[in-house]
Amino acid sequence: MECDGVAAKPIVTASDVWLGYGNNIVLRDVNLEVCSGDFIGLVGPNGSGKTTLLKALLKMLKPIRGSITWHAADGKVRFGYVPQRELLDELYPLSAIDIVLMSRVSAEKPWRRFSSDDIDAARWALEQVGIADMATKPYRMLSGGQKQRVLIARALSVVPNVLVLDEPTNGLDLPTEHAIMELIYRLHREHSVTVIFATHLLNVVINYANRIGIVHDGYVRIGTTSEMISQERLREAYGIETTIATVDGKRLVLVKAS
Amino acid sequence: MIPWGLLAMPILSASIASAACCYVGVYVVLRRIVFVSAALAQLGAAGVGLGLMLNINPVATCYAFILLGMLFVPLIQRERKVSRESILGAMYAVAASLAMIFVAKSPAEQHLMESILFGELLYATKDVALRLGAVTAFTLAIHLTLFKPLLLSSFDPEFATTLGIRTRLLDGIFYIVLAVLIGECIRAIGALLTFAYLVLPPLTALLLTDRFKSAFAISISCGLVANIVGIVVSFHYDLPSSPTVAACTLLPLIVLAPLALHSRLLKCTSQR
Repeated sequence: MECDGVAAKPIVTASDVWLGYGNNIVLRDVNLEVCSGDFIGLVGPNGSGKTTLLKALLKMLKPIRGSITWHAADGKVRFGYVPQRELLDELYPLSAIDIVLMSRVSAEKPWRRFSSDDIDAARWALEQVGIADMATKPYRMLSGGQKQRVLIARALSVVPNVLVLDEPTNGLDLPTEHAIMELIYRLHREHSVTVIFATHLLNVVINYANRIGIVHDGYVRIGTTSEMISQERLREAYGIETTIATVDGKRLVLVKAS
Repeated sequence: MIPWGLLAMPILSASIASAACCYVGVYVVLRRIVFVSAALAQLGAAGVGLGLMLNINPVATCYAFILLGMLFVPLIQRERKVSRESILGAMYAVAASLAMIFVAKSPAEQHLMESILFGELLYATKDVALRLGAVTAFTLAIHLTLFKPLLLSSFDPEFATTLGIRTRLLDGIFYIVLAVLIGECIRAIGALLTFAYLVLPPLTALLLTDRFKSAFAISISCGLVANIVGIVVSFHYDLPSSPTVAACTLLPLIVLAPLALHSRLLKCTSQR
């Protein structure tokens, strides 16, 4: 799918990409164009290959076949990556601001001290996600939602072109999940940040994303949200019958009883 | 009456070794590789034993064994069928047995085996202190230069990669520095005390603080206290020095853990 609209320009293009680890092929024939201003929801069951696709887009994993091209006006795409919260070890005695400042570590000058600009950027990012008052609190003492905000602040502090989030609402209660989705959507609109959002829950993302990629059975099917959220497409992707309801102007996918 | 002049060199040597071990140990505990350091320390001891048995340079065989063990670390991390701990446990058991067999069959005297495995701090010389000083300076220089990327790649290697940080290279540097440190410390203070320094003071520090940088300072301080108390007690009661110091690394934990628990309880109560 190509970028359309005057403002939309391609940021990342994946052409006929195969991804996997060693002999284990996880995804085949991936064709995907991430455009500036996109909010892409990558949806699929656990273990379907969403994280694998994110890793390839983030240059952490080389394609087995095909190619991925990164385009940006200044020659470098800056990714703000929000990993799965559960993968971070809480043994580390770090405060919220310690974690946000990690985004300012220089690969070229590892010995460089954090400047006042770095600290200001970290504080600004914490303000943006609404937890500026928790800057010095130990990360491990924060709630799930607050930890997620810290990780989003860290990604934001990179001043990214693309915000890449891997299952950011996992294990959160309903109000916190809603608050995190609203936060991401606000950052997307106010800062014109392109968003790639991976989740195993279709309903979490369908009311925010302009495009949906369904990752299932080794393939990625991508299209606009209205194209993808149809009974036919969902049957094709998941092999199940669904009902698409609208409640208070919001779409909701329900599985039909067999 | 404590003969401080006589004990100065052992205390100095132990303090230099503990400064580096207690610093690096914070990462050893946080990265959950305590068993890696135990296995590497025993492999180093086995290497020294082999050197003595074959009457070749024990320093070379010590480092050869440690480096050989290090080559297995990435393979162990990839293994999915059995746990990492079980492989490292097996490595530890084999290395410890080999160390004893090699030394038993070496023409050197029996007390050498004890000195390799358990160390003999009271006989530390100026040369030992200088060698330890050089290795400690090397270890701390690398760690302080790479402090930020090393912390990031230990805590969140995927995020570090997105910033262009070469996490595998940093891992390699970390393990090489650890191997050099363990190799030198085994020769000077024994495998047991090296392992104790790498684990107990960092563990105490991490229980006591919520601040990453403070953890290093507390860990090193705990090591220093253990050294002074351990060496004085060992001299006074005619006990083997390195095992006594190793046992004393537990002291700060015993004394300070109840205080930490009390302060946490107070925090919880005030939060309610």
